[in-house]
Amino acid sequence: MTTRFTVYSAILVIGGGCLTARALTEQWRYVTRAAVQQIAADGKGGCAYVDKDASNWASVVWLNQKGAVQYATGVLTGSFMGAIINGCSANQLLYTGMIGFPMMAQVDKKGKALPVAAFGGYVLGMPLMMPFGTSLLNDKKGFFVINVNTNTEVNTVVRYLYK
Amino acid sequence: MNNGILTTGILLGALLGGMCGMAATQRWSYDDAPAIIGIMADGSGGCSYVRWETNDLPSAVVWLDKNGALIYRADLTTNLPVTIVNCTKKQLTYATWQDSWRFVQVARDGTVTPVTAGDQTLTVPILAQELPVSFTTDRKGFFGLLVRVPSSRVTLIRYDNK
Repeated sequence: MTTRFTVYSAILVIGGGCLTARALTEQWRYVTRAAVQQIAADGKGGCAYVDKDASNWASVVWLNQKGAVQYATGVLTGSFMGAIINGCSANQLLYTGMIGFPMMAQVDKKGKALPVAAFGGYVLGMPLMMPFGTSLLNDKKGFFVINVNTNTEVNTVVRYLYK
Repeated sequence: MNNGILTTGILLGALLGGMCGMAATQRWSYDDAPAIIGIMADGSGGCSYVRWETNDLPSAVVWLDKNGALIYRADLTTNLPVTIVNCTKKQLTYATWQDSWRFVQVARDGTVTPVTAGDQTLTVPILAQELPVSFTTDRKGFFGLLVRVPSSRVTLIRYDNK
């Protein structure tokens, strides 16, 4: 009886240990303003995302590795094409938004945004005829998902560590 | 408030065209095309892209080095789908549709080698056929598209991050 109890206990401990070791850990979460359209991991545990509300107005938010806001555009009203993240690293965010007219912006890690400009016209970070932003959801230590509350339709960006 | 500052900055930037000490520095520019799609950064400051013509004219694949010099250009015989599969500073691989998908690898000296897989058929993911994505950043900078006003023709621009 004692032997059987010991064996069962060992199996439970080993099994539980394995499950724990392989389980994901939620690191942080951030409730968004509207439905998330694109997430771009910065490679260091943070990310930027684009959301778009029912009026088709978009906003861009850049979260650091602790889930704190590093930069936010506010609502980009009058945007028929929304906004697209063109690149995100720990040091800078590049996005193209419609702020009166389409324009690419560069944001440094202090949250200072500057336009990317050139003579003779306006600069975009992607082809105008194919304004689609691809998502990058993972980095070396974890990944991002969108948690959608099916009752309220509130979107939440959730950061998971692989273990 | 932040949005207002950005809007003002963008307007000023567009008007002054890079004369107001912006963080990103324009390094070089290339082309004056009806449209540019499928930009693929090579990770070392160069890139390749598809030069898309209008009115059913043929398109072209263009490969530029880190200085904006032309390494390779293929003027295609149709405007059918073209997908750039991979681009590094040493090679370019792309696929064109001509009855079936045909893949070729281009060496830095311009040598073109067909990519085959025995009796297997190579193809391109369906979404990449219709909507080729662009990868426009690397460690030191990024690529943008200058849309000229009023012609709407497009020029590729290389920017350094600072």
